[in-house]
Amino acid sequence: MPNDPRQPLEIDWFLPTNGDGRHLTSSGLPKVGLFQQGERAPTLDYLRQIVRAAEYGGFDAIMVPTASGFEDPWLITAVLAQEVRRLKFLLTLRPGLELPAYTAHRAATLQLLSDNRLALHVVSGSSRFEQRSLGDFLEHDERYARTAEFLEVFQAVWAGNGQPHHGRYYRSVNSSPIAPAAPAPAIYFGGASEAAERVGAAHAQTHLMWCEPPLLIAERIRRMRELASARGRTLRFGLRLHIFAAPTDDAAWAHVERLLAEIPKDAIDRAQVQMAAYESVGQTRQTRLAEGRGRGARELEVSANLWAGVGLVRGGAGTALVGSYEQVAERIEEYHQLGVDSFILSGFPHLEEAIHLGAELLPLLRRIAGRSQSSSTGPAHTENL
Amino acid sequence: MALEFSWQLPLCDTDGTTPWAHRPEQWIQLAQAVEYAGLDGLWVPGGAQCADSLGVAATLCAHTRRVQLTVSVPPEVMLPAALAATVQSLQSISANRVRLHLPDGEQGSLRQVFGEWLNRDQRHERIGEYLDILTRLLSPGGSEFHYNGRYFQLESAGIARRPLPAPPLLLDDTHDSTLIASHAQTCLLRSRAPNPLQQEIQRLRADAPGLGFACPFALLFRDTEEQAWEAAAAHLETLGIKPPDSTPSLLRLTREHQPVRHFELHPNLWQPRTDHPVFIVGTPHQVATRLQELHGLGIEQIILIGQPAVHEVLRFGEQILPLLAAQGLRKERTQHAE
Repeated sequence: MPNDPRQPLEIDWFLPTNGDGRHLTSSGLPKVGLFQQGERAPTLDYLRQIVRAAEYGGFDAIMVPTASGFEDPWLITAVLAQEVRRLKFLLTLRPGLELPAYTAHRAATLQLLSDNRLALHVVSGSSRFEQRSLGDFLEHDERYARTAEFLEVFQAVWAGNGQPHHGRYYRSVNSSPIAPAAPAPAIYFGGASEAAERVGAAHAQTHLMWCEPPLLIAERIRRMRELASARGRTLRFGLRLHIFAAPTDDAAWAHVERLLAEIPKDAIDRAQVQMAAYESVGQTRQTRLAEGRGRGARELEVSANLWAGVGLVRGGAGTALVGSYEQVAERIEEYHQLGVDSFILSGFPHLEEAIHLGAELLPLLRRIAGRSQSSSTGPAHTENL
Repeated sequence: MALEFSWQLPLCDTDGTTPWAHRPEQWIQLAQAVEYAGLDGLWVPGGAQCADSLGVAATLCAHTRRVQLTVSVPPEVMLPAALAATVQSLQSISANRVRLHLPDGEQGSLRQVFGEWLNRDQRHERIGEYLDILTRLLSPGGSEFHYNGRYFQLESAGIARRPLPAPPLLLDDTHDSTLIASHAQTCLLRSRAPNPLQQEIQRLRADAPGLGFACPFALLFRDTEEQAWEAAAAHLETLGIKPPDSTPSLLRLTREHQPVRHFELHPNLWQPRTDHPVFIVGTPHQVATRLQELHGLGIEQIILIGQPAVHEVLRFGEQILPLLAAQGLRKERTQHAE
């Protein structure tokens, strides 16, 4: 199926709300505490600098993650939205911890506080261990069924249709509007299992994936488009990945070699055991990319410039594009041509790298995307989040 | 024990017509006025008719440095472990300025709006479990635990708990008194006259001798008593309330036949509507005297409202706080702090 007219690229950054640093293990989970020096706590004074760097660097939005031990994404977004004027906030939330009408209420408040710069990133779960420590005992497929109902109620409450809701997970006597009118936040959705794909096809505006080689991403996009069109819907697609870009190819690879060499083998083994408990198809797919490969940096290059080394020690997004600015920009444009319109990038540390990539990579990306755009016929959309 | 003042942010639609009448810029302006005027805290109300209290409180963290933030969160809307994690995050962001108020869900329309499954007895049982879990997760020295209740189950809860001071917990006087005794540091009393307040304090202290008390009042003060009651009469008109002409009342006779004072419960305490906080009406000296009387009953925290808010906050800081300080009722702090 042709993808034209291509939408403009949306390039987002990532806010490391459980800490940051220079190492592969500095942000995200599991926290292994390998390095004593240069690890940065997620204080407001640090996070606000990242948000400013992302705004000035020309990123469209910043993803605010959630997990146990992370700063609360709703609070962080409320505070940091004051720091910048243009940057949007892609706030990660987990259905199952709160009632959907309350989520709508909080989201409406944030729309007011941020002048309508909120989008929501809905993830249905993490490890069984973490879910249960929060009081959520639903198993994997049921969590997605609940997410579907959560999003239905959320949207009904936002629209204020006044209907009572009697579902399997939620019940309310009315759904009259609970907030001043504000545009509904766009729904970004993550999940790679069959159950997740069905819910995403029915409820998401943008379906997010951790980055995999282009062939695998093309296959997932094809499948998701079929599921969505069977429901008369269209979907956008997004990729979440890390970036190690430098003036030259060699410099970029030398950098990731150093990052990998400083991680002891037993730390990798421990992290792999923890990630195996995530019950996440997406996680399994990330881990599997590195399986059976040597542990040399170049041996983990699973497709041109795509490196699976991050996933050896970090859960969630485990792949990175590694290369010169031009190579990384070309690879991103290839995914763009496959139908991916949103890219949520990370680099370590997130402050310096937002400045670095904002200066070196983003102008290149916009230029390349602009070229392929002007060669297609469709009108450019300006509102892309 | 000093007398503390929190100013209530106007986040709520109280008359059902103007949702969230105020804008974020006004909340921030008011919060900064409250800090500048030397008050102790901000009261951030929560509920279906208000902007989300947690989001607003987080916003205000960035614009204030000293004031306490009392955040009211209905416990019906999220799991206790989720609230504990959020509150710890707010403690961290605010540099430990948080106090947590869990309103009694029986009193409002929360359940209708946000959704609820349970009958009254179940709700009572649920809030007991909820508070057990929440207070354990908020106590910084606590260990990991399993919980197997009727409404909540957790495994290895507290594993991600952070070593932050537990925020003081406030519960309403309509909550069960044993719940209050076992979990709350402070009880929020409904606004009324000194006699019933005193009875309520005695009742609750029987179960919890160390309990603190907070109570909301509205302010209406002018340079002279006459001007203050004229303002009260004007307010009555905006409420569309007419005082009855012929009610025999000793107070009324002694108050120069001012019909507006029909609603005076006690000298300077005026309540034209029972669903609204009691007004303290009078001169700055009269207000200070009344506050001193309330403090004598055992109330250590007064939650104030007044209009126009910034104007009234500064007048309160300049005209009333010094009178209370002179009586030794205030903690040592210079006015216009910082």
